[in-house]
This record gives sequence, structure tokens and C-alpha cells, in this order.
Amino acid sequence: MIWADRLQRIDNRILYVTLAVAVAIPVFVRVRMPIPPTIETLGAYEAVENVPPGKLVMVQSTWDAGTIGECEGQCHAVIEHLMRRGQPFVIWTSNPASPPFYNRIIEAAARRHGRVYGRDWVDFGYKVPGGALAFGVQSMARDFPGYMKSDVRGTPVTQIPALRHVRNATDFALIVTIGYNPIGEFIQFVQSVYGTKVVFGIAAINSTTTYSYIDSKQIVGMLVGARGGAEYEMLVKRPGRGVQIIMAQSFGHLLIIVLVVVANVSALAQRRLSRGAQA
Amino acid sequence: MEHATWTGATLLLVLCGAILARIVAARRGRPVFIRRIAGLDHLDDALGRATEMGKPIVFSPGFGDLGQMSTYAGLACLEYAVRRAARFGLRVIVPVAGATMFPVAQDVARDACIAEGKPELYDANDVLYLSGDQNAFAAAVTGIMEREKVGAAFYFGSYGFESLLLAETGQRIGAIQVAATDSFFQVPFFIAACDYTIFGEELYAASAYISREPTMLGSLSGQDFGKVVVAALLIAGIVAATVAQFNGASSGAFNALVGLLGR
Amino acid sequence: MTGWLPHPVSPFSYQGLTIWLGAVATLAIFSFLFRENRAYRFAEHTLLGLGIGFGVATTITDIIIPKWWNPLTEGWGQGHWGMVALALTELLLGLLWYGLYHRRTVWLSRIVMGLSIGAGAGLAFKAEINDKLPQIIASFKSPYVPAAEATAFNNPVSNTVFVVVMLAVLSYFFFSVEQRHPVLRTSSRIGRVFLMLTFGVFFSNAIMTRMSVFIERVWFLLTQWLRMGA
Repeated sequence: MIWADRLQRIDNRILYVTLAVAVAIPVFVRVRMPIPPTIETLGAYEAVENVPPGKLVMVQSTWDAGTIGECEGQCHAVIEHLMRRGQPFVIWTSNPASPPFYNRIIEAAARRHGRVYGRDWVDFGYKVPGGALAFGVQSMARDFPGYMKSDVRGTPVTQIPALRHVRNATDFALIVTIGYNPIGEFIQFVQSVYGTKVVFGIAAINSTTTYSYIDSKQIVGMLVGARGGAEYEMLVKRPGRGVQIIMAQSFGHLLIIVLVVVANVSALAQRRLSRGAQA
Repeated sequence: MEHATWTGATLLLVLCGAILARIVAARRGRPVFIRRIAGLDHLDDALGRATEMGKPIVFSPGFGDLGQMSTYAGLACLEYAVRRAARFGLRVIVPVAGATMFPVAQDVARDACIAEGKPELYDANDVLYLSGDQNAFAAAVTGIMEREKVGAAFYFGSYGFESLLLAETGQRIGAIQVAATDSFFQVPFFIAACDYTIFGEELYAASAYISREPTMLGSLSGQDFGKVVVAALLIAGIVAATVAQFNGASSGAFNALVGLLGR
Repeated sequence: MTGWLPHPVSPFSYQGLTIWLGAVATLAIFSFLFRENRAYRFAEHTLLGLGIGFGVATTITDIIIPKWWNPLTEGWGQGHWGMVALALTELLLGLLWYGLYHRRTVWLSRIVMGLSIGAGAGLAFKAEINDKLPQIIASFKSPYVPAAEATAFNNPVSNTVFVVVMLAVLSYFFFSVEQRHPVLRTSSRIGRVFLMLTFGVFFSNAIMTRMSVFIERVWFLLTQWLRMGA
């Protein structure tokens, strides 16, 4: 069975190029697919939808260039939803590379919906190093103005209109984290202590073990990778990066399934052949 | 909860008490049994194969820093690997991701060579501080593996997404690879690309087994007691929940148990 | 996106130049898939340098200056000697880390290392209790659930699988006994099978994540750099 041998020895580089071609198809051909929301995405959407008017939301973003594919759609959809509803929010990060990415999305959404900095959103930028999140999250949950002190523009928290009455984590109706990893500190030190609701936006790879937090009601919703972003974008009726990626991903996944089947069939055939030769 | 509750404090005391008691017992010389982890045999095999091929090996003690227990487990295994390698006269390249880890890894490698009576085998340039950035670290380690054509690669410690980049490169260059990590998300990549993978708490068991360090042995044994306590609690809860389902919501045992743990 | 044929963005504008640099760096990194080469090595070293440089710069501008230098100078200027003393103590403790780099001073670093590990462990106690206790309570699942009360996360099949998997996996991680007893051995083997299944799920989710990252780069090259597309 020469074909089995050949299939087992396909040059990796051919596979890489084939994959690149497969995921590029939606660039050239308009593809439409249904993207129904899963319960975890619906949970996230409803959590934002149910925030009482005027109540603050905290967004913590840690995604950057390396995770645009997974997280940009999530950030785009959540910010669009908040801006459309006119829900005031604060945003901060524990990754110094993140602000340029989320600010691009926020500024575009603010222009679309006529929102004003300081009243509709406040950016605190890079406030806590990733390694000190446990300390930082606890401190800001206990005394938000005392820990944050001032926003990225240097305005003290007490002088920012949207934050005049903020004291601690109970003044936030919802916390949404968007990044590669789930930020467990918000469960350990905020949700369990102050009862503030938490939504995770994370890379698909990290979702498997995070589902248990939905079951235990420690989080109210979760956006899983580009899929979660795409589903949320469809819910807010503004398709963007998430939908783009998920379309391309479908072609990539189809190719991988075909390759896995072909590789296994050829490996079995090869094994049978070698057993036959030994007999 | 902001402060410890009675239930939480009692649970902590029982679990920590068991660990401390076992550590004290182990330190006093009481034998502590830890079963051998199968992956350790593969570590020895990989070193032997690298010696036959006459190629250097890479041993990465993880992407974690000195605050993570997995790093210490990785360092204990690093010492074991360097000692074994020194016996065979093998060159060991140790890429390090954390600045604080760098001198510690250097010390471990140097001491291991000295302990084997071969201090000349230690080369300070083979313990490399690369970067604390995952992408940069992965790019650097894969580059080294390609250039040095390493015969075996060992990944012992905590890892992030760089795991697959490292392991796939190792597989492509034909290195024998053994991974041991408590980073559960990375285990599948190591399983797919390495010859053997030690996962979860097995990493700690492996390092305790190798080092025979009483603190590590006692701690592992105490944790096993903790697992029995948690398993008993879970079984009691499951039974109470089942009884509650049959009796309707009025089951006192279930409500009492949940109330106790939630208090 | 303006056509099927590539017509790259002009590099003679700030945005165009940024896109060109991004495209060249992406191609250099992708070239590793073909073979290890100089372009990849250049990109690798650039990335290393950028990573370290960016990390150092942001640590100074976003952490050291606002969290240490500003309180120190403000305290000094306003005569708040408590703030000054605190900042100087922080400096002293921070400098102790550098004891690591010499054999004679390594003991100094152990003081701060001990403090860090102690504080970390103390936080971990609280974190683990707050994180795991609700999950332990949520694990009290009944294998019997009346049809009227069944939900996506609470139904007889899910609950039975959950209970079996949880106890089997727990038994796999017992190290202080030789797993010879038939019950423990069987349970441990079932645990390992389920762990492998879980790793399969991890793996497929990982493919999804990696694919998203790859797609984003391919789309960047095609649509932003080469300006192709329908």
C-alpha cells in the first residue's frame, strides 16, 4: 500500500499551506453561516442587559497582539453593548500591551454612539502587574478610589463624574474580564466577598475547566474564544472580527477533520501491511 | 467571604495539620511511601539515548518563577537530570524564563556537576536567561533546539501556550521528549508531541520520589490525607443530595451540610 | 479589501509603514515553518529585545514611578515621613532580591523570598477556600433528578457521569499507596481514561485558539497588507 506510506509522509509544509488556503477562503468568497448563541454567551449578554441603568460595570482587559484572534471579537461586542445602552464603565489592564488594542475599539464605539470620556467610560490603563493581581484586585475591591488614585489622564478618581460615588466593589454591578486566561482573582476576592457578578471572556483553550464556575454560579456567563465573540456580536447585531474569524475557522476545522481521518486510515492501513509482512 | 468562617478554618486546620504532621514524621526519619511515577523511567531512557547519539539535551525548569511550587519541583528534577547527564558526560542546556530563576538554576546545575565529581562539565553559558515574555521565550528555545540539534528535551514545571511550540519543535528535530507539568491546559500538547508526559500532581510526586526530600515526601503524603477528607465530604454530600431529591426539598441532612460549608 | 489581485498598501505613511513592518515580521516568523533561517532568527531576537525592553520600560513608567517614586517624592515634599519611611523600606526589600547574584549575599534574598512565598501562601488559603468551597457544594449532585426539575447542568445522565468521573480522577492522584487493590486500581484506570478524554477536549479547544491566532495573521496579510478580498 504505497498510498498509505505516501499519506503518512506528507511534508508538513504542504499541510501548512493547505491550511492557510482553507482559512483564506472567506476572504474571497462571502460565506454566511448561522451562529446561534450558547447558554454561556447568553448568560454574558443577559448579565450586561440586566445591569440597572446608570450602574457601573468594570471591564478588565488583558488581551493584546498575540490574542487578537480570540479576544478582539469579545471586546468589540461587549463594548458595543455597553456603549449602545449608555452603561458607564471603567476599564483597566494588568498587561501593559493591552491599552492600544482596547482603546481603538472603545474610541470607534464612542464615536458611533456619541459617548463622552469621564461620563460614559473611564480608562485606568495598566494598573496592576500580572504577578500581583491577587493583591491589586483585593485592594481595589476594598477601596477603589484609594487604590486606583487617578485615571490615565491623571484625573483623580474623586473628580471623575462617573465615579463620584464609587467606594468599593459593591458599587459595580458587573465585572467583565477579557483575555487569554480567566482571572480567578475576581471570583476569589470579589464575587465571593462582595457578591459582584462576574463574566469571563477567555480563549477557547481555557474554557474547559472554567465551565465548572458556571455550574457553581460563581460566574454568570462566559465568552469562549472567537466563537463567544462571534455569538455576542450576533446578539448585539454588529458582526465584526469574531464573526470573520469563526467563518474562516469553520473551513480550517473542516480541513483538520479530513486530515485526522485520512491520517488515521493511512496509519491503520500501514500497520495492517507491516503485520502482514511480519506474518 | 472576606474573613475565615468556622467551617473554612476547621477544614484548613485539618488539611494543613495533616500535611505538617506528615512532614514532621518524615523529618524524624519515619519512612514515607510514594509510588514510583512511570515517567521517571522514560527520563533515564531519554538521557541514555541522547548519550548514544552524542547530542546535548535541553532541560527547561518551566516558565514559572520562584513563587510557584512547580518551579521547585522542576529544579529538583533538573538536579537529578544534570547528575545523570554528568555521569554520561552529556552537555545540558538550561533555558530560563525568569530573572530570579537564573542564578538558582545556575547553582543547581553547578552543584549537580560537583556532586557527581565532574565540575568541569558545568558551563555557565549553558544556563541561559532568555525572556519573561512567553512568545520571546518560546522563539528563543525553539531556535536553540534547532541550532544545537538536541537529542532529548525535558520540560519540567509550569508552562503556558509556549508548550506546544517547544514540544512540536522537539518532535520535528527528532528529540526524545519527556514533559512534567501541573499546568493542566498544556498537558494535551505535551501528550500529543512528547514521548511521555507526567501531569498534575504527578510532577510533585516525581520530584519527591527523586529527591527523597522529607518535606516533599511528607507534604505529598499529607495531601493524600486531605484528598480522603474531601472525597468523604463529597460522598456525604452526594448521598444527602440524592436523599433530598427523593424526599423533596425538605431534606435536613443536605440543607445542614450545605449550610455548614457555606457558613 | 478591494479585489482579487494583491496591491499592497503604500509603506510611505505612518500607518502603511506599521502594516509593512507587521507583515514582514509575520512572514519572518512564519518562515520557521519552512526551515530555521536568518530572517526567523532576526525576528526572534527582535522579539526578545522588544519583550525585555517593553517590560522594563512599562515597569518603570507604570509601576515604579506611580507606586514608589511619586509617593516618596510627595512624602518628602510634604513632610509625611511615614510615606518616606515606607518607600525606603520597599526600596530596601526590593534591593535584597539582588542578593541572589552573589553566593555571599544569597541569604539576603531569602528574606524577601520567604516574605513573598509567605504572603502568597496566605492569600492562596483564602483564594482556594473562596474558589473551591462553592464548587465542592455544587458537586453534591444527585444521580436522580425528577424530569420536571432537570436542566442543562442538572440532569440524571450529567450528574451520574459527573460523580463517577470526579471520584475516579481523585483516586488517580493518590500517591502514598501502591495502586494494587482492585477497587483503587479500577477506579484509577477509569480516572486516567477520563483524564485523557478531558485532554482531548483541551486539545480541540486549543486547536480552536491556535487557529484563531493563525487566521487573524493570515487575514491581516491578505486584507490589510495585500488589500485583497471580495
